[in-house]
Amino acid sequence: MNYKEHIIGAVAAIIVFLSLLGFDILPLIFLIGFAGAIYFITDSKLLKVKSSSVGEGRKDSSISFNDIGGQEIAKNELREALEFIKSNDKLKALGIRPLKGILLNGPPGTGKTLLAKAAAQYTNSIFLSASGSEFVEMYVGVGAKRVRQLFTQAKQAAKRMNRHSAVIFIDEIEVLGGKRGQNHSHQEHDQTLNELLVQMDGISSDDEVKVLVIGATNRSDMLDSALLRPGRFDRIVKVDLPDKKGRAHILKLHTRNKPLSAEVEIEAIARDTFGFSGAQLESVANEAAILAMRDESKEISSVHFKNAIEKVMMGEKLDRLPSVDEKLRIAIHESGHALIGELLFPHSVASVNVASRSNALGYVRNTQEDDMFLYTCDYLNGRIAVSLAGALAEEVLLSSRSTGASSDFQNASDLARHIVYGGMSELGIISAEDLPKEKLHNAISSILGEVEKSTLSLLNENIQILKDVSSELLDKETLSGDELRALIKKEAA
Amino acid sequence: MNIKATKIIKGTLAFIATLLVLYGARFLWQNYSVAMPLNSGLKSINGVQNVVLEKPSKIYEPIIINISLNNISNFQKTYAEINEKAIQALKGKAYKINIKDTGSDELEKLYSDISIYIEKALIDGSFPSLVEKSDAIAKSIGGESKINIDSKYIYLHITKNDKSLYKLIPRQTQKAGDLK
Repeated sequence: MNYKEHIIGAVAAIIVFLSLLGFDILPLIFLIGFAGAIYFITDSKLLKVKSSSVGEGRKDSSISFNDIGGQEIAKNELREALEFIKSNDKLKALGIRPLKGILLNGPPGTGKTLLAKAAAQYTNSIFLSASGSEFVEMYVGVGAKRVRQLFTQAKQAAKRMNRHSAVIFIDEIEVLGGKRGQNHSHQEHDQTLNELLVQMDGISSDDEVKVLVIGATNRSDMLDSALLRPGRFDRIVKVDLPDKKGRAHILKLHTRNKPLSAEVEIEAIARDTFGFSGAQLESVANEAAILAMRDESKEISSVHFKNAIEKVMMGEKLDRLPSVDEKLRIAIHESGHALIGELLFPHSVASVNVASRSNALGYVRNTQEDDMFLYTCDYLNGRIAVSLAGALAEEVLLSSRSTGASSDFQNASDLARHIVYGGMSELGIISAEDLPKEKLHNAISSILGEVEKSTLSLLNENIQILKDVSSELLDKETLSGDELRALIKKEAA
Repeated sequence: MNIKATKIIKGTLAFIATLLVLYGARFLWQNYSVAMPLNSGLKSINGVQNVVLEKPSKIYEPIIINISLNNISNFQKTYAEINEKAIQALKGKAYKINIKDTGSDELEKLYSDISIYIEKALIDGSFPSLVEKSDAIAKSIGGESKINIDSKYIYLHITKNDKSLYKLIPRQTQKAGDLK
């Protein structure tokens, strides 16, 4: 326990008492001041280099596993691993080596830091967080010193707070734990990593304060193999982007303190946000509330959520105004995407817009009923068709193409490459590494050419719908999926 | 509550607790180690009617011992006993003895008349003449005067009816710190 404040209070009381009694306390004050200065100098502040401290985020974690949505598998895996820390007696009885580290591996914004905080709370531990970059310094030995300091700080803080365990969370651990010998200043880098390995090796079940290291990375491929072997990071927990159920859970968590209109369907928003991370979903909930405030509305409606999703996905609306001709071309381009999208994947279009956002002059937002993890050749061909449809629609109605389709072509090429590598092209099953570039190019061109032909004929068959959709879009700037489907249905009838 | 606030509260509580402990200890020490033994010692002296102690607020101030005396036969002897008990109880601590009397204006005037002979005696040492003169002046109003002399003080005790006046006159000029 830290008695510093008690001692200061008691000494102040003694000084006041003596001065009230009439003692000459000046010599006493001088002595106390002198002793205090010596303590201050030797303890830390002046002799230790200020910039060498890490783990400033020390605190008691108040986040529990229930506060984290959409990571059920990761949570369960982590919870199971943490049981080892919680039941130390059983551990000793069975002679189990304590768990020294858990590596959380996943894309950014998926809640790795939250999981680490929840782990600290679950085990009633002290939580210290540091980023891998905090250990990097141009001076040799500073990184290693900081690693030692972090472990010492964790143990001291746990003792002070009467805890038996401490969780050290190192974010972006690939900065600190990258493969040795590859860094250009590798002597210092390797020393830092070696120190981390030594400190993790030093953790034993007999320690008064048990230390668990939780690392987070989105580049586990960059990590040194010594760090990944059992005895260092014993468990590698995959923290992935949330699925639909997970997204709904996250959205519920982030909207629980926000007034939602009765018509808002969390499930529908979850469906519209495929590929969103937890951080992005938090941003959607926040942006929706901001939009509601802008509208001076007391409740957040589904329209606010739709706009918030678009804002998070595409960026803020810009007041960039294209010329009339350009606007017509954009409307035709986006109508092409939307029409082919809807024809090939019914109910897949969420909205079509010709309002500029970020780098896009217009965009079609797609949605899907269920998350997909496997793609068939037909599905990929369909997605290629949707990508190419913009440029082809321009060609059909305006007899020329524009540069606005370059990212579409890139996307189509990537999808075609997936087909080739997936063994679904005319080349059959291939070795991606050994495939000559020319063959790959030919195969991709062949796929794109075939899809282009079929898409062009589909557009020509539905040219009237394309005209109607683009003129409606030009008029309204935004068409919802339902409005688009109504137009298609009307024309078909 | 944040850590800073907790620290301030802990420090303040330690401050208050320490002050309470120190003042409590001082109170107990003054009562049980000083006042009670001094009171009981002084009250055991014949002629001491009442003892009131004035405790000093500052450490360098003397303890004031206010003593009320009954009609005593020998003021010098009683004062010597009081002094001895005070030295025993206070163990070297500074003190000052105030003798409370039941004097009246008449006795004060009598002392005023005698004081001129006291001053004379202090200068020329005519103490036998002082005793005669004071006795004569006291008897002239129907009172009685008793004078004792030692190397330090002239002890004057004047009585009339049930009134008594006690005066302690130093034979040398009092020096700073010589409070006994």
